[in-house]
Amino acid sequence: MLLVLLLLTYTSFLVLLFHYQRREKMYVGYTTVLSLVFLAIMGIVVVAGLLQKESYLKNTLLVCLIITVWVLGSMLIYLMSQLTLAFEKIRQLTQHIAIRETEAEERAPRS
Amino acid sequence: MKGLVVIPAYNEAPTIRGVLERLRPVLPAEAEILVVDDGAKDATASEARASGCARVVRLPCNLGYANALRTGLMYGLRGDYAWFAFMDADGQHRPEDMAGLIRAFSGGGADLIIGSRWQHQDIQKAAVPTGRRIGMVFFAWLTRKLTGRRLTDTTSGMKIMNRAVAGELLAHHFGDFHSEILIYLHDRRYRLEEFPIVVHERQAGSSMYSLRDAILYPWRNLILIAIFKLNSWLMGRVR
Repeated sequence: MLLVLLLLTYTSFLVLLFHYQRREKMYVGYTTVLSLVFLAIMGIVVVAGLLQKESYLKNTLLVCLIITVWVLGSMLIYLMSQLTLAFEKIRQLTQHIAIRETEAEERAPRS
Repeated sequence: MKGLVVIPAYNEAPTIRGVLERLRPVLPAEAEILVVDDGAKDATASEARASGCARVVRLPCNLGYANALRTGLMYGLRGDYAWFAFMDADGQHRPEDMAGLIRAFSGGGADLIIGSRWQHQDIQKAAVPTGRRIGMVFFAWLTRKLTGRRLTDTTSGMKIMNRAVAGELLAHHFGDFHSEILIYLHDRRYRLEEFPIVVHERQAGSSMYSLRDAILYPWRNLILIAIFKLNSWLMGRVR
């Protein structure tokens, strides 16, 4: 029950993120999304615990574990993406310099 | 219509001059040729310049096949070219096929035309190594499943496209402009067609694809296709 709700929360926030980025041209920050997801999941844990009379502590630990793995995984992905971005910028710069050199050669008077 | 034929070249000094000298006479007058020397260690750039029929962009280091093509598109989109064509520098492609491809494209009706070796009556299956042929068959099948179109040669290096398609290829991260772009362009309602060509075995040198590239190629393409399909699906849901 709890896992299904967690999955639904993740999916909802991802869809929301795509929606804002595309329709409103508004870029929701990663920290904002993470905070909202955390709050929503804690809310679900409380509600689910009350409704199903499940062990509150067990559910909280499970949520903390999921969030920790998610945050660490996200940090790793973020670092990798920043590295990829840096290499991408270097590649683009290399291409631009090569193109500019060719254009300069074309403009230069032939001896 | 002014157009640009982009030829990526890496260590193709033995063949590049011959390719250019055979290509120039069969091209229409408004077509220009751009050789992208992808950080070659031999005299590829000077041989291309010596032919007198091509402009040369020389990359300081080897960025790979797709980035060489991307450099050609970056160069072309700064100008007023209406179409862009790709062709290999190793002598595998026949210049007369490029001329035919340009004629077919000028006839209108398509945004991108792929030169297909499997459409030609003179199919030379022997020229394709078995491993590569399995990959070609798989990606052609996958493309057909995802687009509903029968595109037979998704890995062909000979293509022609209009400016809009060239802009799309530069705006997104594609692999080698093979099946992943066909699926992407089909989803965005671009018109794709095939044109029969003959592909010979390479005349000299070695492929731009290293062993590492050959191993990574199918996985990279599959991931790209999955991302594009997922993105299309999500965008479609929130529209």
